[in-house]
Amino acid sequence: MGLIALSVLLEIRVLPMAWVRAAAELLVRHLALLYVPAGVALLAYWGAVRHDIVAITVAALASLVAVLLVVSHTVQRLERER
Amino acid sequence: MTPLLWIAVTVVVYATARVAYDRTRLAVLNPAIVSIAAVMIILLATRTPYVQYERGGQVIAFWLGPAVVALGLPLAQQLERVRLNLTAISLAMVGGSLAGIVVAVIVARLLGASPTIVRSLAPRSATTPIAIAITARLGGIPALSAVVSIASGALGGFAGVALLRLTGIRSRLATGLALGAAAHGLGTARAADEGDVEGGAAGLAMGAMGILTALLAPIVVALLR
Repeated sequence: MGLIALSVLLEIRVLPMAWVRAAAELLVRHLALLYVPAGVALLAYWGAVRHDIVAITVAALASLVAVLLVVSHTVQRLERER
Repeated sequence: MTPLLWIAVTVVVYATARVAYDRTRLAVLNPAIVSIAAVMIILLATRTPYVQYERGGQVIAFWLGPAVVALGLPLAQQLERVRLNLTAISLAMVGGSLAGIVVAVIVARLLGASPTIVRSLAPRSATTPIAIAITARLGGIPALSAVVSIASGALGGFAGVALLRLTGIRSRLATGLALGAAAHGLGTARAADEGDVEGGAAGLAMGAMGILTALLAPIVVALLR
């Protein structure tokens, strides 16, 4: 919800872009650092995850391919300008 | 002292992984995956209980919230681009978001995954910080969503363009949107290598998918129960 709020505030120019940009760019550039503790937490759940590892891998792959195909073919078919 | 130590370890590991990736540009050296694995190994090797790491880790993880908001920035800058192909893009984003959630949930369930695991896979197509937030609310395992989101994003960034070309996709807009939607951050980075149109479209798609998946995942999970 914060994401939508920020977009709207920037769009109607209540918030000057320059204020936000520096902080936002730093956070986004090193976004991967913030994922590390989130991923390490998997250690605490390894017992629950190990059992379903094949289902997890296949479901994630299928979902990845589904999104790639649905989005690309929808856009290419309906696009106005090539 | 210990929380600080683990914050320092995490930052040093990440910095090292980042340098290794920047030097080699090998997709398998994804800095997030390498760092997560390295920190796990350090914890196991030093017999440190996870709870002890968590006190330091949560200081870093706190910044995920502000980072989600920061993702709104490229989104705001992309709004102009949307207007020309508004219908095509809206349909593709809603359809893509639904497809990503439904396919993950149904395949995981058919293969016998537990309900907690299924809930953790539903937000796969959202970018990692958003996926974590969605799973926390759905009652899944946020850590699993994080790893799945990062790993599938890395794969999509690596192999996505080839798959799109193979299925006859030539449009630059379609390529960018699909990469950003399916593989979020790493897809967007790959799309930016293809060109401006692709990069911009991917950034837009990543933001839109984050929002739509946050709205749709709870509904789909409840309906498919």
